[in-house]
Amino acid sequence: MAPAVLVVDDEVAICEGLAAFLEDEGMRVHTAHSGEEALSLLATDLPVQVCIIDLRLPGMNGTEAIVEIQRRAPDVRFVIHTGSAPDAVLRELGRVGLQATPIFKKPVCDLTEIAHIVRTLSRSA
Amino acid sequence: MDNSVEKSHRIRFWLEDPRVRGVVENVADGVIGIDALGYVELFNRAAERLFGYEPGEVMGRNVKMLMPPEYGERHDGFIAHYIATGERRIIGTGREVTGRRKDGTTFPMYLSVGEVTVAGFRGFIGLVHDLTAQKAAEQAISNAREFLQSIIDSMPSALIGVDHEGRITHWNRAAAEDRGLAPGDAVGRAFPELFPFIGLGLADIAGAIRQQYPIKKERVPVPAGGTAHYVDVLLYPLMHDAAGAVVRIDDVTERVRIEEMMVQTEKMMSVGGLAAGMAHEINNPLGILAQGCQNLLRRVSSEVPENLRVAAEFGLDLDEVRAYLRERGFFRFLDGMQEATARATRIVADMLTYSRRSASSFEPVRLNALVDTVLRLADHDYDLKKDFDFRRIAVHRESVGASDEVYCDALAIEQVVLNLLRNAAQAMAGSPATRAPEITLLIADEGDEVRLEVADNGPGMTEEVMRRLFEPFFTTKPVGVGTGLGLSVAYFIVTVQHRGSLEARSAPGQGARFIVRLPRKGSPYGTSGARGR
Repeated sequence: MAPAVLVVDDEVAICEGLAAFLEDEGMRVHTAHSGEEALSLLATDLPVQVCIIDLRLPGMNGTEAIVEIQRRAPDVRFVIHTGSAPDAVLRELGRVGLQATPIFKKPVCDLTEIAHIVRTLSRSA
Repeated sequence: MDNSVEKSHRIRFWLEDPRVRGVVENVADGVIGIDALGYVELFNRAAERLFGYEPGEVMGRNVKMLMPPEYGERHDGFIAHYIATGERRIIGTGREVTGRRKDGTTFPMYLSVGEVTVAGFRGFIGLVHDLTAQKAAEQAISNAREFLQSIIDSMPSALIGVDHEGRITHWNRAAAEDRGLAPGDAVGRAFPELFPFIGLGLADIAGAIRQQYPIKKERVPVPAGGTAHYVDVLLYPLMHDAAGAVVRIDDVTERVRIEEMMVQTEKMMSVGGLAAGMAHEINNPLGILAQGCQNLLRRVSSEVPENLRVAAEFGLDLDEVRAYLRERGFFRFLDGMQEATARATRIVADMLTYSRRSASSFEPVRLNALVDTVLRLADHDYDLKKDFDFRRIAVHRESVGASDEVYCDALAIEQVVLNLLRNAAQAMAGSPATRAPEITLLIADEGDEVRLEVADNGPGMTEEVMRRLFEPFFTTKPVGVGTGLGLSVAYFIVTVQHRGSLEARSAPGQGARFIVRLPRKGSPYGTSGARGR
């Protein structure tokens, strides 16, 4: 079955660009522009295997959102897509035990790699 | 002949007269009388004191006993010569000679000799003035002068004394060496003539002396072959009489260099702080551009089924659409956008390096092994291949000393070495075809440090370029080729993250040599306490 992906980014164009690419790859893609919006989408029993999420978000930040999503939907796998400096990101993820999460640093010039990782993760979800 | 002279005419007879005796005995200087054969007829108390004899001890003996032997032996001959020829050497005048005391010691004295000729008697009267104290005083003055001279000569500063007209009256060794002249060559010459580059004219000097104010000039460039030199110049009017001034010139090249480096580092730190804050803000729009470009290209591809479906809906043929877009330069524009995005991405990533001070990745690294890795990378470096095939360059390796191991961030140092190699390769791409491009990589054990040198035989650099070499965003490469951050990032990694040093040596036509020194026990920035340095 085609992987279902949730893209969380406050930058609308980033959400749309990623969605367009992944949809062209044959995936089902939903978008949310904040952690809160993501949580309420998931509350509607939206089937999602992989969540591509930014860390700097308005309201609850990315790591808080991840922790909350994990609590409610433990099977969801995450891909970090962020423009922050890698050192800071690793520190933040390490704090919540997510250091093994794949990280993509913006800008990602070739989205094929993200698509590949998403597909791999969705199979293990 | 003296034997035939009447007793009353001899000098010693006069002394029998108490008045004569009173005068002679009480003269403060030594008085010595001799006959024509050199036998002492008169030797007063002052003379006895001077030469250390008991009263009467010298009377009737040859006066040469009062002289050092090498002179005394010839004394009889001197008298005979005078009597025979009348040729005067000391008679009628005086001069400084050496006296010999009873105990054999000698002392300086002033001797004046007069001739006595009375009714057939011929003799000589000498007046002896002890110069010991005067000589000691002269010696003390001379010592003091030498001491002062050696004080001013020992000063690393060039010191130059000038008179109220700006003419040189003194200068020290440092000043003479600086001008490449002998110490005596400056006296009397005008200060501006010997130090034209300082920009102190005769009128400036005269004015400062007249009005009693000092003149201070900082970081005055000195014309010298090769690298730039700077001096600080201070002119002080002399304190007690207003007849002159002293000029002090200090070489501050090293200080200027260190200050420039500090400014450099500070500049980079602020770039780093800025970059960390801006990275997120810049990377997001860059991400939009990057993925937008990729999506645009994919959405005209016939390999995506959805494209074919939508095209059909509009009655379009995708191949025709692509042909149209190609014809109108659409893909070229997209390529340009992708390339620009990639370049901006590199700039942001490079700037982020400045904010990274993490010590987590420090480990013992053997530099020779690290260089092997970098050379492999260079062979496949895309950026490098665009302008220059790295494999065409002859790379010489040299390793000196026992150990090449340093404690460092291997990835960061690889980045530094790769950057130096890339610069060398790009510089040599502009070399004349007659010279085969060569890079020499040297790793040398220097005790507490390991030195790594990357030298090329390219066109070298001008002084202007050298001065700005490590400045962020300074580049000599064509627009779009370099970010202007490569060397400044390298500089930051070496000096701030690793507390090492990075310097460049070059001149136009002389190739360029970059010297990296890494402390063996590296202590990353901000963790100075941890590794004890």
